[in-house]
Amino acid sequence: MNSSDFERLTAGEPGAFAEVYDRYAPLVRSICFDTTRNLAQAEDLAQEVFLKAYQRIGQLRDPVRLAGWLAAIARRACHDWRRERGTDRLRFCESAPEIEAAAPVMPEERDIELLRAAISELPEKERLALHIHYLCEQPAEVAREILGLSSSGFYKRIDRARRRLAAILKPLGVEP
Amino acid sequence: MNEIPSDAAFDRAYRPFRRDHARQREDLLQAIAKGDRPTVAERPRRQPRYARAVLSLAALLLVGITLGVLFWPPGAPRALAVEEAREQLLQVKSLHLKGWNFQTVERDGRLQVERFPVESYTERPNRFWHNGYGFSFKENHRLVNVTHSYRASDGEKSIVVSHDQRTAVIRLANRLETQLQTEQMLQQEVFDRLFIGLPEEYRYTGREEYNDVACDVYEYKDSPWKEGFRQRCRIWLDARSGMPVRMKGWTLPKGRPEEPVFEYHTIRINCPRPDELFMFEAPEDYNVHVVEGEAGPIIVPDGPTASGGGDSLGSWIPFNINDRAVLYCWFLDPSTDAKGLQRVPKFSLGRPGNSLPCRHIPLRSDTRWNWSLLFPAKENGRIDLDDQLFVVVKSARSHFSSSKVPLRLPEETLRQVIREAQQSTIGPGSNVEPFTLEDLDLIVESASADN
Repeated sequence: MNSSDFERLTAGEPGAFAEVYDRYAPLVRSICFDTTRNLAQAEDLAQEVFLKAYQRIGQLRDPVRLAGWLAAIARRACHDWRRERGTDRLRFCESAPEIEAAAPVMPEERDIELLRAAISELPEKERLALHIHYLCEQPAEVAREILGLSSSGFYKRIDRARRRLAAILKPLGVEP
Repeated sequence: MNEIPSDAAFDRAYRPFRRDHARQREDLLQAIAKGDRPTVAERPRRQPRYARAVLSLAALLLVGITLGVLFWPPGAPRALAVEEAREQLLQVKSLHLKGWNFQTVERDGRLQVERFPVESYTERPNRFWHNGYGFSFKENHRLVNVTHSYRASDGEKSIVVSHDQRTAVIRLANRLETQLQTEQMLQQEVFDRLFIGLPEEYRYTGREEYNDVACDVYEYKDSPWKEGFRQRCRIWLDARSGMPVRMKGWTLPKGRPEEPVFEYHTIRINCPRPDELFMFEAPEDYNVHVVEGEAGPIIVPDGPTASGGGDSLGSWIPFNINDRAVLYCWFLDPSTDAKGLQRVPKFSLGRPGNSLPCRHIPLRSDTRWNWSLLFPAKENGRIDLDDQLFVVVKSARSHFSSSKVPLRLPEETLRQVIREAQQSTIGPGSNVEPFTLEDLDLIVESASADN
């Protein structure tokens, strides 16, 4: 983003913000989906994230931090979403946080949905890396900003995430 | 057989996040057009007399940033990881810490570091074991006395063993009280021990192997311009699970090399229970005292919990109600001022050094004790993980404060606590109707809607 675009953005010009929306909305929706596990709710939550971001856009000082800034707002919104919808005042887990086995990958839509659910079970850093890889135009740059990873580190993490997904799917014995 | 999902499968899995984008974009732009313009942060105008100090600070920051860019590893993960570790720790079933308490002592005219083993095990809902030391020094570093004790409870019995006095006191435990103690340890004390400073103040320092586990290491350091006592700590987070496996802290005394203060070399989460800690066997030749009846309550303290200048504050554990309000029971002695008006402490909620005054809804006064609901003044009206309740008593003759983390409890436990706690304040034979958790929920809902 050049300096004049950034000035337009931080001045609250809707056109400039729409460009940011086009670039990052899919990523923010995917982050929200990891919490809601429901696409419609993820879309609603992502809209809230962008409204909040627009309200605070004047606080952004560095265009390079834009993606990380949006991801942080999304994470906070997800955190609030979880709290609002918790039926218990506090849920204490009975065992250590761990990756649960998910269902296999099949070409059919049902299995694609299960792959999406399995991705949501990955550790956050790997999950985010996959989201960025598949949803952003310049993934390595976005990954550098959000995850603090070098280009090679980013692709190593993608590889690790894929292998972990494979490990989740393997015991289920499904041909991809 | 290739079990790694193909790019085509990933593309299909991610496709829904792009669907209907144009309509959502239009909706958003309409919402923006209807709403307020964004707040553009204004740079505050500074008084000219501060200009030099500000420039100096900016120069320092520039040097710091330059050094950071030069020496901090590239591609470092962000401190988000520390916040996540804290959030996950709040939900553990059990936590076992082992480590060292370091003391810098003078022996034969030389300063040296001596270490003392520390251990704690805490398990939900109502089981804990922890040891502690008391150190008495003369002339700064001459260690003249060390006391060592441990406390434990399994929800049925509790024991306090003093090794220096060679005594053991065993009594029946109150399950609810023990549960509150357990929660207080897991929600406040563990945080205080494992994390210094705020999550965003941690910096990534690199990856290290620790006990054959790949760890991301983060460091916190007090600002160099902080007055007095300064600290540094490092935390090793398991790169796979994000959970802490080791922590070490140092003090940074002025004019002397830094000194280690504590280390938790073993941090085990949801591990098998170390049954040997709960044998409740006092060592031989210890004077064992078995007390009839249950341990004294901690929900309702017998007397003041803080005092100064003739003023006393009695305060209970504050309880988090739906992350929207804090239920708090308190008294002040004297209870009225010179004009005969009731005195109320100043309540604020937030992070240390960054709290905001609360909205206060008095619920009821029972003889000495006052019940209050306190609401955060933040924009989102929520109580966050790092938020504490600060209670300040200030008068012409005194100024003291107390801070506590409002405990989050499972619903049934909270309901029971509220019921039992009021039995203590209302007293026997009273016609006062105690409020229930449902009553509080209603008040919180309507107060939040008003806000």
